Amino acid sequence: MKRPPADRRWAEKDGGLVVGLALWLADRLRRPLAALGVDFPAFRILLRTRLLLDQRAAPSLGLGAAPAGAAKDSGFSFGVTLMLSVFWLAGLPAGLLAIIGGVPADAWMAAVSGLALGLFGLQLVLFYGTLLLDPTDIGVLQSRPVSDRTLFAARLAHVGVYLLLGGASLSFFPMFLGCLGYPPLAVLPVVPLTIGLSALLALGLVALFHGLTLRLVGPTRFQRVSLWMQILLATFLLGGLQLVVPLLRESGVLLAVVERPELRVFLPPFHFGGLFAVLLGSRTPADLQLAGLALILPVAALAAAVVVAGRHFVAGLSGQLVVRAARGASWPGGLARRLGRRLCRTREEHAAFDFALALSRRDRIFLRQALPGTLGMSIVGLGLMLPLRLDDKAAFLLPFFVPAAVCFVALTGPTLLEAGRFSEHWAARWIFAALPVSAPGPLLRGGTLALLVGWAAPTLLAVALLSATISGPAQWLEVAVALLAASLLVLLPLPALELRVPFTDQARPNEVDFRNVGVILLFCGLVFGAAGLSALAHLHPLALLAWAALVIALLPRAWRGLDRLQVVDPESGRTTRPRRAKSPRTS
Amino acid sequence: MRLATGRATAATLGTTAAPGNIRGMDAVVEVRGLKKRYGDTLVLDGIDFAVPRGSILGYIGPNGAGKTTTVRILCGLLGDFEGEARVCGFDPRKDALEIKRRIGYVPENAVLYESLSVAEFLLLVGRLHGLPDETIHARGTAFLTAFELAGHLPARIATLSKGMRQKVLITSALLHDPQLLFVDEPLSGLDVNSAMLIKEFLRGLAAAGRTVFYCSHVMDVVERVCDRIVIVDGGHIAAEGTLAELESRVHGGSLEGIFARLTSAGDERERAAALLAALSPRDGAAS
Repeated sequence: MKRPPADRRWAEKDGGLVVGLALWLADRLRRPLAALGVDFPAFRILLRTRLLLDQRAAPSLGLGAAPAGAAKDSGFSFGVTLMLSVFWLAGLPAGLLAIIGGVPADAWMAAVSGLALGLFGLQLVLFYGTLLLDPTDIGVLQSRPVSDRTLFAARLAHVGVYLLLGGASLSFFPMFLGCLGYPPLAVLPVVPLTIGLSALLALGLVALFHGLTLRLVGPTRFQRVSLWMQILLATFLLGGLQLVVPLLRESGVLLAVVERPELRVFLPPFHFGGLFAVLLGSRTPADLQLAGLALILPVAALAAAVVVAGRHFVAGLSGQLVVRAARGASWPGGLARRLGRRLCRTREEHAAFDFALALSRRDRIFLRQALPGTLGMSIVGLGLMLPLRLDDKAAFLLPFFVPAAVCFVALTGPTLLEAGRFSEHWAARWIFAALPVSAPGPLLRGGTLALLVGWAAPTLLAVALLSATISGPAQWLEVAVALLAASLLVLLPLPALELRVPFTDQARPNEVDFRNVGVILLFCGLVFGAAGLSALAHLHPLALLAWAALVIALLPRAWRGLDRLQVVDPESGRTTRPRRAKSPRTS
Repeated sequence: MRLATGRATAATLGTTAAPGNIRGMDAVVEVRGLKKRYGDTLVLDGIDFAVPRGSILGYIGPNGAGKTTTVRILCGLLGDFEGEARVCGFDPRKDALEIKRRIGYVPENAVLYESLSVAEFLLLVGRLHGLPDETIHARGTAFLTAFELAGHLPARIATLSKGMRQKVLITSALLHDPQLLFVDEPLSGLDVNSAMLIKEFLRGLAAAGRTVFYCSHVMDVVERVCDRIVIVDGGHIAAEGTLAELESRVHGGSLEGIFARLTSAGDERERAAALLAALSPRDGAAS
C-alpha cells in the first residue's frame, strides 16, 4: 500500500467558518485570558478540539458496515441552522415592539435585553449547561497538564461561541425593525452589542453560579449539587418567572422600579436601556452609570467565574452522580420495576426495561437533560395556574386552564426519549449486539417503556395531582380526562419517531439529530390542539363526555403503537420497523 | 501471611529521609501513610513505599486492592487523601499540574477522542504538553512506525482495533519524554510482538534514567520487567522487595506462587466448583 507523504498524514482539518471565527475571537482575548491565569495555548487547543468534535459523527463499535450515504457529520450544520432560525424568529416580538410606537427608547432596549437574557438563560440551563459540565472527555484530559482554570475557560468559550451565533441571529429583527422606530445610527450598533453582552452576561452568571457551587460543596458532591441547582434554575426560568412577575406587581415592586430609577442598577436589562439612552445623547449620571454597568458587568461576571472555578473543576467533573441509591435490597425492586414486570412481554423486553430504568437514574448526561426539562416543563403549567388562582378578576379562566396545563406536560414525552438515547457508557451496547436476539424491537420496546413508566408517567401524575389540588374537587373529573389525554399524547407519536435502544448512543451533548424534528414539531401542534380541546370541554358536560370518549377509544390503539417502534441501528444508521414481537410471556 | 505491614515498611523507609531521597537513593516517588476513603470504604489504609529513579516498580495486587487508586493519587487525579506523597519532588495535592507535566499515564481503560484522527489526537496531547509540532511529528512518527501504525495517522481512532488504540495511548503518554511513566496493564490488547517491543522499551527507558510504575495482573511480565515489586492487598502492603528478596522470604516459587500465598485464601477449587454448580440447573433446563 502506498503511504501518503509525511506532511499530509499529519495534516489537520481547518474546521470551517465557525471554528475559524471562534479562534479569531479567542486570539483577540489572549492577553486578558493570560492575565486571568489561563494557559492560552492549551485553551486555544481545547476550544478548537471541542468545536471540531461537535462536527463529527458519533463513532461506531465496528459491529456492522455503514451503508452508503450514512451520515459522516453529527448533523452540526443542520443543528446550527435550526438554532439560528429559532433565535431569528424569537427576535420578531422585540422588533415589532419598536414599530408599535409609544415605547420609550430605553424601555425598548431593556425589553430587547430582557428577551435575550431570558432566552440565553433558558438555553444555558436546559441545553448548554450540559455542555459546560460535560464529563465525557475528562478521562482524556485529566492526566494532561491542563489547569482547572484553563479547562473551565475553554468550556465557557465553547458555549459562548454558540450563544454569540444565536445572538447574531436574534439581532436581526430588533436591528432592522428597530430602525423604523428609533434613530438608525444608534439602533444598528447598539442592538447587536446589547444582545451580545446579554449573552455573555447570562453565560457569566450561570458559570459563576456553577463556580460558586463547586467552591461551596467541593468536587466530590459537585455533580449532584450542581444538578439540583440546574433543576432549580430551570424551574425558576420556565415557571417561576410567571409567578414572580404577578407577585412583583402585586407587591408594588414594579411600580417602585418605575418611580425610583436608582433601583434599575439591580436589573441588568435596564443597564442596556441606559446604554441606548447614552448613545442617543443622554448624559445624565444615572444613564452613564447604567451604560457603564452594561459594559462592565458581563466581562466581570465571566472573569469572576473563571477565577472562582479555578480550583477542582477537573475533579468536580470526575465526580459521581447518583440521584437515588437503592438501599436495603440486594436486587433492585420498586414500583416502576413491578410495573415493568407486568408490561414487558418477553425476557428481552424485561432486560432492556431494567437496564434503561437503572441508567435513567444515574447517567449524568441523561439526568442533566431530563430532570431540568421535565420539572421545568411541568412547572410552566403550574406557574401559569397559580396567578389565576390568586387573582379574583382572572379566576374565571382557571377552569379552562387547568386541563390544558395537564395536557402541555405531554411535551416531555419525546424530550425524554431523545435525552434517553445517550449514555457516557454507550460502548456497552455490545451487550445487546452480542445477545441472541433476532431483532432489536423487544429491546427498544422494553427501554422505551422504562422511560415512559419511570419518568413520563410520574411527571404526568404529579402535575395532575397538583392541578387537582389547585383547582379543587369541582374539576377532578376534567383533570382525570386531561391526564388520560396527556397519556394518549405521549403514546401517539411513538411509531413515527425513529428511536434507538435507550442509552446506547454516544453522549454528544451538542449533537442534533434531525430525524425526529418534523415529527416533534407536528407533535407540538397536536399538544396545543389537544390542550385547546381539553379547555373547551369545560364549557359543557356533554363536550367533556365526548372528549373523554374519544381519548379512551384512542388509548388502546396508541398503546399498540409500542409494537410498531422504528429502531435506528447505531452502527449503520439504518432505520427499521421491527415486526411485532410474538414471543409469549416467559418471565 | 504478611511480610510487612504498612507500618513496618514505613520504618524501613526511615523517618529522617528527606523528600526525594530514600535509603540514600534518589526517589522519584515517595509515599508515607497513604490513606484513601470512598464514602465509608477505606480503599488504602496506610501505604508506604518509594520508587528509586531509573527503576521499574511492579505494583501488583488482587482486584480492588487499591492499585488504580494509588496511581490516580500519584498522578494528581485524586486530591483528597490522607498521608504524604511526593512525585518528582512535588505534592500531588498542591502541585498536580507540575506532576502532570513530568509524568506519562497509560490508564487501564483507554479513553480517547474517538472522532479525532490519530494525528489530531497526538497533536492535541503534544500541544497540551507544550511541544512544538515538529517534535510531535518526529516522535509520533517514530513511535507509530515502531508499532507498525504510521499508515493509520489520518484514520479516526474509532476505526482502530483495541490493540491499535492501546498503541496510540502509549504513544500519547510518551510524546513529551516523561521522567516517570505510570502504566496500568499496558500490554492489554497488544499482540505478542508489540508486547515484546514494549517490554524492551520499558527496560531501555529505565536504563536511560526514566522511572516506570508498572501495574499489572500478568505476573510473568512483572517478574521479567520489574526491578522491585510491591504487592498490595486490602489497602495494605503485603510485601515489598526484589523478586529474589520475595522468593527468599516467601517460598512460593514463581511470583505467581508468592502472590497467591500472600493474597489468596486458597479456596479457588471450591469456588470454581460453586460456579459450575450455579450453571448446572440451566444446563438441565436447556437439555
